Amino acid sequence: MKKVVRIASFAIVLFTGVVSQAQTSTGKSAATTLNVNLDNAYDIQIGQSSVSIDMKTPVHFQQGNNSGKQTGHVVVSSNTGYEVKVAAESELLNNGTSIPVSTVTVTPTLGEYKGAGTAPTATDVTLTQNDLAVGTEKTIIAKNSGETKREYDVVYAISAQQANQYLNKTTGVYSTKVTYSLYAK
Amino acid sequence: MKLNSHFILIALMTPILIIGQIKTAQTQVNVTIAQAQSITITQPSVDIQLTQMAHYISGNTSSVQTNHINVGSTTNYQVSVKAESDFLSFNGSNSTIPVNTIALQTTMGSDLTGSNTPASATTIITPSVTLGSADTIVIKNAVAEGARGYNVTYAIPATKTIYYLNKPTGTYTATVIYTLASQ
Repeated sequence: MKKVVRIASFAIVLFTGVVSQAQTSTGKSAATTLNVNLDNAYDIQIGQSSVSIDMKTPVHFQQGNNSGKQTGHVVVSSNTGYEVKVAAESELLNNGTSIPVSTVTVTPTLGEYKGAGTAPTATDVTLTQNDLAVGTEKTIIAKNSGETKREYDVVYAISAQQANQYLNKTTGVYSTKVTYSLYAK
Repeated sequence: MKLNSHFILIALMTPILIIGQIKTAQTQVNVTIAQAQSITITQPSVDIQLTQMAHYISGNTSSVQTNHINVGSTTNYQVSVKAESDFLSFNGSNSTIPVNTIALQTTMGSDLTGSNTPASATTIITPSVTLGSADTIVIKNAVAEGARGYNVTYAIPATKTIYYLNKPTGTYTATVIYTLASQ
């Protein structure tokens, strides 16, 4: 049985020999078409799910205060140019008492590049400080070219001018939900 | 006396044999062993998807193309690969995406003669080859094989996806050419 099988394989060798006789001595070639299918893809992540600004000391009420830099707070991946917009879900609320969310400014700065390979150019990014607004999206980041895993650091701040809005309020935690949205540019 | 009669008999037979040889005829049997080689590519078209952000972040590969390269050779052989152009084609003309953003990952495939012949111990496969317009050797084998398959995966590594950013969406193509030759 084994012998029969070996004969069969030899027959194949002879057959291929016949086929290739017309080929040149430099060898034979065969080809395939390789397709790379490209489509748009976008992703945005928030690094810290909760951020606090303390208004606890006289200095805070006089000079304002901020959250400190939230490193890698907004992480963007986009295969094209993009914009990041921010909006608040509500005013700052505490058991029915509210403080205008517009008293809080959002300041983005360029963070680290965490994508693969060399960091792409960041000279085409425009960063804009903006006050938060309820239901109104405000652009804080605009970049002409896409990249993967670009981090932006963010500071939330209550300015000295706005600090008086926090006077004469019940103590406690005033909070809102802040949403960042990514758009193709 | 008895010895003598034996001698005579042998002496008589010998001339008969000689007469017989005069009537022989000859033919020559020629076995022509030509160098025979063949190469075929099993899948005429292969896809790599860059359609999700995970693909752009981590890179992506085609599925494994089983027995993509099918080689038969009556001599030792080598298989080289190249792309037709240094750049992927888009809508019929060259794009700015270099073909060297794509790597070829090759592994031993199956015996395709039907005889379950084990892979040659002399086979040397370069596991990863970056595509380019110049030939790069992928497979070398010091002995002949009837019909041997090699599996191929095409890969865009994470470090190269940056070349695919900020490009019009659609299908970018490269013609990949495999060449079989004796070593």
